[in-house]
Amino acid sequence: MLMLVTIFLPLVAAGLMLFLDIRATPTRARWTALIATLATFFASLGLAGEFLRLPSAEGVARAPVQPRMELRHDWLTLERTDAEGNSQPMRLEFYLGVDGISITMIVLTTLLCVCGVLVSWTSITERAAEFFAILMVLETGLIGVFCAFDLVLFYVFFEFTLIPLFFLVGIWGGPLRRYAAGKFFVYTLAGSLITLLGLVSLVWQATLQTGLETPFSLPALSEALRSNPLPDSVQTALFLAIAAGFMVKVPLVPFHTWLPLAHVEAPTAGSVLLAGVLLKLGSYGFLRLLMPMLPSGCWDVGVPLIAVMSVVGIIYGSLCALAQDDIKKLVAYSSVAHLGFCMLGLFALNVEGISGGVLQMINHGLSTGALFCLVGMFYERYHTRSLSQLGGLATRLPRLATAMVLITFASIGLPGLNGFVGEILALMGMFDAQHEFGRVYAALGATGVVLGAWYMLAMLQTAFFGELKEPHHDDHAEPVQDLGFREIVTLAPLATLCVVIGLFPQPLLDIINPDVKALVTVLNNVSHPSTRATQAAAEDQSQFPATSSASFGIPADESVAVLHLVNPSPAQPRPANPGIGE
Amino acid sequence: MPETAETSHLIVRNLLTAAWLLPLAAFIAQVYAVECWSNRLSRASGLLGCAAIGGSLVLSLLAVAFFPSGSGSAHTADDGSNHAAVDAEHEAHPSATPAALAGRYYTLARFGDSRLELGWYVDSLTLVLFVVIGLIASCVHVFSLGYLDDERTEDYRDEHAHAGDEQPVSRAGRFHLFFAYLSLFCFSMFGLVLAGNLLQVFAFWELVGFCSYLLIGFYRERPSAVRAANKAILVNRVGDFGFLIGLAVLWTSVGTLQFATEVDSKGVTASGLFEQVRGDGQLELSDDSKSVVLQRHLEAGDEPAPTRPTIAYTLFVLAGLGIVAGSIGKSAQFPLQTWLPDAMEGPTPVSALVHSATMVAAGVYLVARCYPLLAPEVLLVVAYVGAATLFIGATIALTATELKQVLAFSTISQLGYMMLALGVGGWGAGVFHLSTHAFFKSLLFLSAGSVILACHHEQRLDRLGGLRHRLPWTAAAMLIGTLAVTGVGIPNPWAPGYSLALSGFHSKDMVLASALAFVRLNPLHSLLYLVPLAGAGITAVYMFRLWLKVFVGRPADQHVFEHAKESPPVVLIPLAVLAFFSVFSAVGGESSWLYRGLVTSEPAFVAASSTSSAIWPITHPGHEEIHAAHGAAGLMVWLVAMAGAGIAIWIFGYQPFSADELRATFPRLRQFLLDRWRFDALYDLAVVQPVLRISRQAIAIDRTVIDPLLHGASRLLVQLAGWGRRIDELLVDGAVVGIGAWTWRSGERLRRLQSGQLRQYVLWLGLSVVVLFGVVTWMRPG
Repeated sequence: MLMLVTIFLPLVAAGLMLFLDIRATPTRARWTALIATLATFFASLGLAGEFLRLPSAEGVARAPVQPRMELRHDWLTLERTDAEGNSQPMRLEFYLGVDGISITMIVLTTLLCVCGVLVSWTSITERAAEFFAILMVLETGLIGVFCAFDLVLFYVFFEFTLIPLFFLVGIWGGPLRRYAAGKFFVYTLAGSLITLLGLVSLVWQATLQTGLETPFSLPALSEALRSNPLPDSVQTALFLAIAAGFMVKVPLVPFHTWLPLAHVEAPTAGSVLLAGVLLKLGSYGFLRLLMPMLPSGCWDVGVPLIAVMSVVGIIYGSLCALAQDDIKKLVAYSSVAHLGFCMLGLFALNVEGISGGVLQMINHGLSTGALFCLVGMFYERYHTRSLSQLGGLATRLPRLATAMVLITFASIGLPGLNGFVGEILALMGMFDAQHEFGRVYAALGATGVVLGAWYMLAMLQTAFFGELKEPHHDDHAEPVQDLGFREIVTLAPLATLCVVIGLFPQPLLDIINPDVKALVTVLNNVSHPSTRATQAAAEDQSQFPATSSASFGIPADESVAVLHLVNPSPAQPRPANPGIGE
Repeated sequence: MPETAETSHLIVRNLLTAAWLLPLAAFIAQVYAVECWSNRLSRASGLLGCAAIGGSLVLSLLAVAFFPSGSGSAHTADDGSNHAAVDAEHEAHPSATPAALAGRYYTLARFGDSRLELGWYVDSLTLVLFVVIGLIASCVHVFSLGYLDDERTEDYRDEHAHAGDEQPVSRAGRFHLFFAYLSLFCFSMFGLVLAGNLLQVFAFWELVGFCSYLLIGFYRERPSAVRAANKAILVNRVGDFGFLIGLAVLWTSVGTLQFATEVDSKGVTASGLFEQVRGDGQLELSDDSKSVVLQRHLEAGDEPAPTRPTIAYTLFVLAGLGIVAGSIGKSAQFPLQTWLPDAMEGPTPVSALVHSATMVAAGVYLVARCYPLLAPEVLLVVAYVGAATLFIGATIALTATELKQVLAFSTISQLGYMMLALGVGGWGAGVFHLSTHAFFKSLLFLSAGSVILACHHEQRLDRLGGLRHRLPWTAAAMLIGTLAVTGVGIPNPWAPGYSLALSGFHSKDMVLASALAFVRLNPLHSLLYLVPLAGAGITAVYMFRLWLKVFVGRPADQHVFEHAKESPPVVLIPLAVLAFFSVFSAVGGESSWLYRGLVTSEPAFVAASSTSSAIWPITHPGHEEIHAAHGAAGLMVWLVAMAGAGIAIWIFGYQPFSADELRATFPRLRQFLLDRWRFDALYDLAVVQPVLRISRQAIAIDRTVIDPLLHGASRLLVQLAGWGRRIDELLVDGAVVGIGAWTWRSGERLRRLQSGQLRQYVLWLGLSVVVLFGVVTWMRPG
């Protein structure tokens, strides 16, 4: 119940604002929005509390993807005719749930939405009611993605997030907003359409191979594919297709050029949510769909492709950030580098790496969210983001500078702050990874530690220290004020979390650990292609060559033939479902 | 016996923990005070800091008293039977390192068998460093009360920073902030020394770096200070990059970063790094010498596994090099030494505490701590790095023109000595020099601070002179420091430990003795003795040059001289304390309490001479060889140092040449040294500028390659869509419209049928019926 409230409360509030109160004054709109997002935040905290009180799932048999709290209803049932002409039901469900990974992301989302409302408090005065309503619609979409455990639902929410963000950037953005919004929308949509194609064929293949009744339910699908994996070459192709949308979303170099543009043009709240949560939809997709469903695809193409792209992203993103004059663009490029760390951790495909990657998702949300808030506050004061026009502002704005120093160091991984744990786990995981070049990737990724410090500190040095240099502003004559109460309230929770997670990461790791372990179990089952080859060779020499060829022996280009050859899963008797009244 | 040992462990741990956390508490209070209960005129923050660090010092001293000093040998004996007195508090004693207490506070993160945790590892090295840090930090805190007194104001005018209009920057004082930073630094430094595993070391390593960043950039209005702070952290990060890789190698191939072997409450033993790498002292190589066999602790009933875990020798060397890379960054060793001279932009007490005595020595500490993890080849690298550094640092110090710059290069050079000592197998000599150097170098820096304070922040050497008349106490203190660092004294040939000489004499003696012993065993590496020997002479020259230029001769700038007056007692008392320790801390040489205390922590394998032949043969001297070399080395270094001192006194004391003549002697060499061997220029040219250029190009790639590709793709799509439209319009629309037109035309034609004449209709009706009837009959089956 709380789950439904968390997801749809912002949507309801947005609907009320749009349809009943469209002529609201900005003041009324922002208070409504604040109350609604706060309520959502507390609802998500309640959900998290409920989640934490669950009995330990340690040792319970489970699917690779398994919500620990769930809410499911039948949605619609389709008829499918199988190879023998029998009619099979195929059910779509309204299947929501949370597991450890998603609950952390949900809380992060609701928190950042509160910050987003607070940070837009005074900067949005035109069409404020619409702005806040759209912000909350976006919130619903984001939470929905993290709660969806049905493939269709997942995809619907995933795509749905594009629309509100499109409007946020396109209406309330900077001078290039139309181009930015269009580029962002079309680019990510194009990627996701390939993903859609991949997902459809994944479900189709899985249904053919396993005769699953609920092929859209992630737990059922992952379970079925674990016991009855798709052929390697099919997995490879599907991995590439499904990953396409996620790679754009993350974004991995060279699919990143929409990001700096969208960030620069977006209003502050849009940037905060874009960096803080929206990018994580990409890495979350890798975690949720690709790793459990296509484990050998992850090993075969995922590791070489994604790891290389991440390393390139770390170095390339850092370099781009280094030469930026626009602070917001600098932070945007730093996102590219940080997400590179995150993906590098995930594609270590071991517990340390994936935990590090997930931590990095959260850390980046907190620290970059805070950075964008700070940049926004900055911009409100000086109406410029150009580093060359600024200098020595620590004297003028000591509190803002203090916050900036703290968040900067969190973001470059100072021990005791959150960035450190995630970064080091991701690197260690990659170093420990079972693939040939794991150490090389880790070593190259570690150069990001140097470069990251370089661009962030250079930014601090130019803007905040040294000689005082303020841009000329005669549009408002009163002197520039330091952070006010509202702004401190905006930043305080983010900064606090940065410190707390840095000092006590274990509770967070405990929350995500069961899910990460389940993923790693699946991944280890198939392990690295080279070892798999030797295993297969060993099995061929064993007494039962037939059994080994049964699972691996189907060549991919005969996938049409698969249609007739594979009969629906004799090994997996479908459980009788009492829910369907016959 | 176990019970008393256990309680004393607990006492020591609790005392050190308290000593560690006290500055943190002070820091929190001071930060809180910034916003809440202090005003800028209050001295509360400084006094609080002094109280905290003084408390830490007392607690550390108490810990020394409680440390089971006799147990060192007892446990070593125990370790022979492979069962140390292990209690349920997760404490154990790795056999490679006697008399160490270890355990963990809490676990940061846990994955299956591997853990990241906060722990402690206490041996006599830890204790000595706690006391040394506590002592020096206390002195520096008290000194700072006087030195930064002018910050206690609402309106501080910084003459070295300018606003846009050439006016000095006027800002609020930051007295409280300075002490807050100092407290944070002390906390981090204690944590670094106390750390029970390498990751924790790394964490505090970064934290001290962060504090150093804050402190170097304390005068944040000065662009040079901020630049120096950034440079410090970035150059250090380069070293940390190596450190991280070293950590990753150890983590993945040994499986733990814990120093000590631990026994948890269930009695399960988790072997620490030291035990795994060197169980019984020496590295155990596999048969083909290509890997190191790890020694995991076996439970009583366990059979040794048939294949024991190993780590490839190259990886082992890589891990060592990584750790050493970290040390090179932090200890400002060649080739990463360039940040330290710039770091002198910080307030002078900071230079005394952070950038001479403690933080920069952390690199040396790390090498000493991780000694069992370093392959002989790595140690050789350490030795050569040390030799190169000490030479470069010493030569640059010869021509440096500012008071603190000379001291900074001297620090670099002395750190090089420590590294060299560690590299040639003189573990004891290295950490001994580390401790004595901490005293006399902080003494020198604080004296310099006193001079700078007296001369109103004038520290160019050519503006000072003759100040001993004005600042007699400071001059005396600085002379003690100078004598200590140069190692000048009157040796006692019968009992070298009781010569009429200061602490630096003894420790440098030890360093040179180790080097000589090493060179005797490995004649190929003779440079490792000759360079430090020459360095000792150069040290004497530049140090006496410094002292003479500042305190002797005619005042160069009458204005500065006239206004100079001796500093207040709050500044002089710390000088006296440090001078006392600079003089007496090493009395006795090899038999001094300091040295004997330190060597109880020496890894067991160092004591005896050892030869390794994994990649190339290196023989490390043992205690005996070093002791044998002591006399000869001591004599030679004494001669060289006296010669250097003589030259300096002749040139700068009696001044046979004028300053211009001196300058004209070797103009190119002098310029080369003034440019600091041109390292900064080289790095700028070879690293910084290329990276910046590449990064600008990266943006250009985004703009000129990737985006156009995207735009091209989208334009292509639009084009395709255009064709689609044309197809739509021509074919589909055409078809529809065509059908419509055809229908229309047909209608038009058919309209003619609608003539309105009844007879005609009936005729059509009849015809239709007939035709339909015909069709139906024809179609009917059968």
